[in-house]
Amino acid sequence: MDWESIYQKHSRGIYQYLLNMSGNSHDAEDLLQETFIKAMKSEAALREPDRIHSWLMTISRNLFLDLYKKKMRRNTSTAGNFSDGMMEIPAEQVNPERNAVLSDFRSKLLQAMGELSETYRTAFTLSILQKHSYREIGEITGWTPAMVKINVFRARRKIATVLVEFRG
Amino acid sequence: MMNCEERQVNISAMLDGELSGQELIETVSHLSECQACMKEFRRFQSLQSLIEEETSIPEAPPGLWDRISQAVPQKPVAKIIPLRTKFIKIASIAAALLIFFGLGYFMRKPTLTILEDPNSPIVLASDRGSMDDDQFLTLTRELLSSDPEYHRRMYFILHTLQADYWEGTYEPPETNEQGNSPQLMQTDATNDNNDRNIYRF
Repeated sequence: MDWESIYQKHSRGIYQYLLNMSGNSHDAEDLLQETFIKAMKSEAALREPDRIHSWLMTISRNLFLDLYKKKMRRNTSTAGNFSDGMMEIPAEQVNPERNAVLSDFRSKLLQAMGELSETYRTAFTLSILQKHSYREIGEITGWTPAMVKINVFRARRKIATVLVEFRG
Repeated sequence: MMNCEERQVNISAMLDGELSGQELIETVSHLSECQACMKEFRRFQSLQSLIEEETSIPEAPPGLWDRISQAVPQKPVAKIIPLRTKFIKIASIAAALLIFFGLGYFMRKPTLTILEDPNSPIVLASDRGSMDDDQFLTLTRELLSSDPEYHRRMYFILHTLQADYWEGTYEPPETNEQGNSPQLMQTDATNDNNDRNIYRF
């Protein structure tokens, strides 16, 4: 497989997911690297090449969940970073000119996401930010169609409550 | 009967383009009648607009691919060879093998030492693959007529082959009416009982 092309095509979306889930660019970068290393070493397990994006997202989600559990056990959870407002804004997003306009909304969004459970953060990121179909979300997470629908709704409602009212 | 909470789950799905059929009709119909659900719908819409306006997808960290590719050395990607190139390669290999074994056979000590009449026509029974009669005969004529010596040797080889392997259906070659010089005589293609064509030259 031409992994360099696959990386060029899919890394950005996976990085965004990992950044939203982990809350910091250091973990997101490590997890993105691990995702591709793991995928390249186990490419024989990819049965449907057409669904490579879902497969890569599943690997990255599982790696994130492993890290999340470790951090929870050490009582320095990723969720804690979010809720304490410590979520790091990616370098691309701290462009001073754009930041002047966008920082309020973005920092509020990141803060609101940090207050979501891992499940709702996943639903929000995959559906509303990344616009994956419910079928793809089911493939990535292993949720049933009904679970996908309800998790996306609850995540959307929580974030809307914070952000829409914030904007007036 | 669905309550508003259940309707709002469908409103969320509708915004994601995941609702169709009767559910979609009922949801739209409910929205026109229920102010609370309409308010939720507008809130969801506003969130969608804010996100689309004000978020962007971050670039993956530069240089990360280099680290990944160093950690897992890649096998070279197999080139996709066009079908025509593949065919030419296969044909070249087949031709090389044919020449190799043909020469080997030609240079070996013949098993049939007595060549009764070198001017007799060559009788060739062939599985000619996908070639039709005309193509096969044209090709064979070209080969045999290009060099009288080649014709003589081909006759010898095929005669030996027939003697060795074609048991029971061998027909003695006819006499060449044109004298001593071996050349293309005549062509006659017929189906024998074994469903193979016989050609006389």
